[in-house]
Amino acid sequence: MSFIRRMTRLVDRLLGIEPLYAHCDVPCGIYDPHLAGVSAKTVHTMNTKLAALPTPGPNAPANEVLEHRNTIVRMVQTKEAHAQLCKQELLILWTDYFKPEALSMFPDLHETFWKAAKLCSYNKQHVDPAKSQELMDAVASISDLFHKAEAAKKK
Amino acid sequence: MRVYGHSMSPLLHPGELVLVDREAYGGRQPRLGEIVAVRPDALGGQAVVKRIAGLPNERIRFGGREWQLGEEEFFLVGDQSEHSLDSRMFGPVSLEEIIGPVTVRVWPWKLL
Repeated sequence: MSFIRRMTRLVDRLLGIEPLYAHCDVPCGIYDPHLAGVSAKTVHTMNTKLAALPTPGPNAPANEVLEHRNTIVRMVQTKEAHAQLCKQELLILWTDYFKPEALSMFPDLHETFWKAAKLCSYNKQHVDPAKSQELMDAVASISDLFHKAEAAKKK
Repeated sequence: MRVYGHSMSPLLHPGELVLVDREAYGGRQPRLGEIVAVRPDALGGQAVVKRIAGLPNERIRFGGREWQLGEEEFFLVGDQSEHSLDSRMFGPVSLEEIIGPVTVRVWPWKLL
């Protein structure tokens, strides 16, 4: 962060001027793993709910079967959208935030991101709470790398 | 509030100061096309600035995806829609999440 930007933030804090983010991918340089974490959690919640959803019996009335199908479609749609969002957020961090120099600090960086992105795809294709838990853990690890990289920048 | 990021350019640029009317939506509903400051739950408390692109109960289509807004839901999009992080990613927002309309760009001066 440049000297002028640091001073601006300091003055803003003293005057009570809040930051208002016009978030974008490129080229604003604002990165945050929080959204990937929320998306991964949503995928896991949908998987858990889908796995626990009771199936109507063979003699269930037509409206109950229809409601059941509707619930499944809505949950799958939410899971699909959030797995895609999670993947997109991870790819932004991987390709834009982390620079080649980060490899000396995190030698497994590429492997970590590659596996996490693969988990996003797997979670789109399947309903497996164990795998969505793995995705949440993978995103948490990436969040940890991000915060370590941020801390290193400030030194 | 001070703007960071480019998703609302060319109207708002990084570093510019804006005024937000926090009382405006006590007496009226947000309007289509208004620029608003919002604190979406999905962003963990960060305030963002976007434009209202969808009002309650509307059906919104963007890039092959579709959203049906609820009774008190608003859809937000950045002016630089190709690069903006907005409702297409974090979903529609409720009225409670909207801080208020951005009414003035302090410098260079412009009423919005």
